[in-house]
Amino acid sequence: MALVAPFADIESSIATDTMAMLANVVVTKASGAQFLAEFDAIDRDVFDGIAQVGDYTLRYLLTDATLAVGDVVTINGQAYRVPADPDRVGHEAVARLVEHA
Amino acid sequence: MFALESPIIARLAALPALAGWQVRSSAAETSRKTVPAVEVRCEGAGASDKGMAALIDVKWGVHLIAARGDGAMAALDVAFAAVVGSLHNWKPGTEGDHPWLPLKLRDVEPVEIAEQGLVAYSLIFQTSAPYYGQQ
Repeated sequence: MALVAPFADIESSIATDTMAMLANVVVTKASGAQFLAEFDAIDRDVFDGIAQVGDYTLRYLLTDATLAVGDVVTINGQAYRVPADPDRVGHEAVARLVEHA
Repeated sequence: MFALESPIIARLAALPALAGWQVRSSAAETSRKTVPAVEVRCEGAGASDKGMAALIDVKWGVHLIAARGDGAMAALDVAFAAVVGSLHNWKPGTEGDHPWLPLKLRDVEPVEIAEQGLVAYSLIFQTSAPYYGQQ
């Protein structure tokens, strides 16, 4: 008899429903494909206050998108680049973004 | 003690290699989101007793900030060479009523990287001047 992981479907459903409820941006990839995500932007002082930089993170479902280093996405008209591998967190990924000129 | 800041900034701002860089004072009311940028900051001072005078040794930090990317280190390298060429052994003369000895490059701090997409390099110069007290 094949084993069934009973919580897998529930977990996936919770992740999908949560993203559907909490997404605050539509992300457009360079290819034109779009997906929903949670976007967070906070300005931070770095280098002992010598510079200020936007700290941008994007949380999205792994089933909705795949982002890799160097990818450029557009959010609210601003282009951002993915400077490092996104971190997987369960059914989601968290990508740091930097502003792309 | 802070009188050298303006002439240092003026020298750096006039460098062709730093065209396009924002050269600014640490006290300036300006956006610090602009890159590439050079920020000049007094890093403190030491003092030694010279009889009627106190010899004030001032450290000036020249902080180079650029966006991370394939060309970042090359841009910083060009800026580094230009800053050293302009300030090392530069004789500021008398500023703020005090005769300053030539600036010397004393330290180059390790590169700093902000994961939000910036990279910084700091050069520390030193100079000194006598400040007279009571006779």
